[in-house]
Amino acid sequence: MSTTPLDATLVVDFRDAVEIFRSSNFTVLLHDGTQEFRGGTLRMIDGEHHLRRRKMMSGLFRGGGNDWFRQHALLPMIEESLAEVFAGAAPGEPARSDLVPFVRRAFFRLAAAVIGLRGVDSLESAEELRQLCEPINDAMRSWYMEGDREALLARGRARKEDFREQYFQPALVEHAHLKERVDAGELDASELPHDFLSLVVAETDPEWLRDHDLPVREAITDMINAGTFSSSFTLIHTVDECLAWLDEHNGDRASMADPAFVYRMAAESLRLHPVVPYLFRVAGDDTTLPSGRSVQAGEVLCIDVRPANRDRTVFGEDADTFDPQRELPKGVYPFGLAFGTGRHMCFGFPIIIGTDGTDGSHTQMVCALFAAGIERDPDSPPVWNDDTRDLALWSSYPVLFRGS
Amino acid sequence: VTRHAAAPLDSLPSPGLLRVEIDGRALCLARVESGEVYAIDDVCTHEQASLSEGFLLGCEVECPLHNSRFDLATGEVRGFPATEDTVAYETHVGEDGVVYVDFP
Repeated sequence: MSTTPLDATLVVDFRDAVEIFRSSNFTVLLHDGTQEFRGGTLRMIDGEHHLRRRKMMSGLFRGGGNDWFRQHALLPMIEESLAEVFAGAAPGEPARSDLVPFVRRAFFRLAAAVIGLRGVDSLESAEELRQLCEPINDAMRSWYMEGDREALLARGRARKEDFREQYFQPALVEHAHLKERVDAGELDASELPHDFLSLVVAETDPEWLRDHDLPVREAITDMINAGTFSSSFTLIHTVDECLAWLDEHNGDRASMADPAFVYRMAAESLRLHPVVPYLFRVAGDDTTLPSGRSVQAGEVLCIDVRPANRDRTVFGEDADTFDPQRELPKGVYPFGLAFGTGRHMCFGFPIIIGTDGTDGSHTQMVCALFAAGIERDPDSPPVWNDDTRDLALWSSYPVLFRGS
Repeated sequence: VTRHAAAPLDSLPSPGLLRVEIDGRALCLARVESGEVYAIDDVCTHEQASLSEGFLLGCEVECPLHNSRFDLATGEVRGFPATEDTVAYETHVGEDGVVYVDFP
């Protein structure tokens, strides 16, 4: 039996992982000492309260709400970023960019829209938000990083206060004023913004009223952190796999305009490169997992998504290889457990995957990048981020765009 | 096939959703814009959530918890994260103004 740095039982069997994610016998555990960033948020609570809040927050994406955010916040940023890099290209030369900030900036614009922040509607303002928030994200993944962890946490705490003061609180006050106008009959409720802060000012969750820091933590955890971090790097992994696939398949770039094919590429990449590997749960009662392994009440389990997503009994003997045409057992997602599953399935899943994968952000963004003629920059290879243990990240991914 | 009274038609929102229980089986009754009435199993096949607390989108219902979608006429999954179809039942509106559901 393997253990993790927390001395938790490591789970690498796919079916065991699915059972743990889906069973109410297992509850979430905040394992990394980031309570001041994640404590009490949607992904850290269980039971009826979790279900109530999840329903409320999932309402942001209902009825095509996810598509609205993609079309109004995320994809326009990709178009603007492409226009910017083409405008900056020397005559006769391809446009050059670094895919890491390129993509991260776009997802920060998305995060701002989902939260309801104001003034984050341009490349520059999204970049300012990104730069302010990166130390928060560093603090939240500091468990995976080498060095002086307390210094990272302290810097993240300070930036969290800056985020509150400069972005969150002004937007909250504005939303509260709009709500007052609705209450006074001056504004129709349908004119209220469709975002997280509108849920907060509508007082839809009593916990958000009792603990005024909780809505800030909620915005940081699910939107600023998860919404920009995993999303960005899984997208870059997808581009990387697509470029490698093209190298091996005679450069048939026409297939990269087919959303159904690109979705299969994205899903296979998500399976192989889930970015955040560890998810922790605690057993409520003694039980036996599908593999036959016994679990005792109170036992801490660490699901390692990486080996679970390469479980040969589920994904085949070639589970370690990239195969977008992979055949899967019924009910198994092509992206494996990259988004978890069960009640705590990733909040941003409707944005990233959409209703059938072809309309999700990753498919749409990859199609847009290949339509713009993306290639690796032959003069500047990608640089792996060595600061983080077990997280599959790049510091830099230089690319060229040769146009359509 | 057995036919069961589910609910008075006028108890259904129009359009809208209503949860009913018949012989211990929870159903989601849906009355769509055209006036048609559909019935599917109420529990989402992805996770323990009541579809009748979800959202009616034309002839589909969207789960309130994770946004899975199901076709009300056939029970087929129309949107992730659910991957398993649900069960759709034949419905009839009787002359007595009651919605009846057929169990196979």
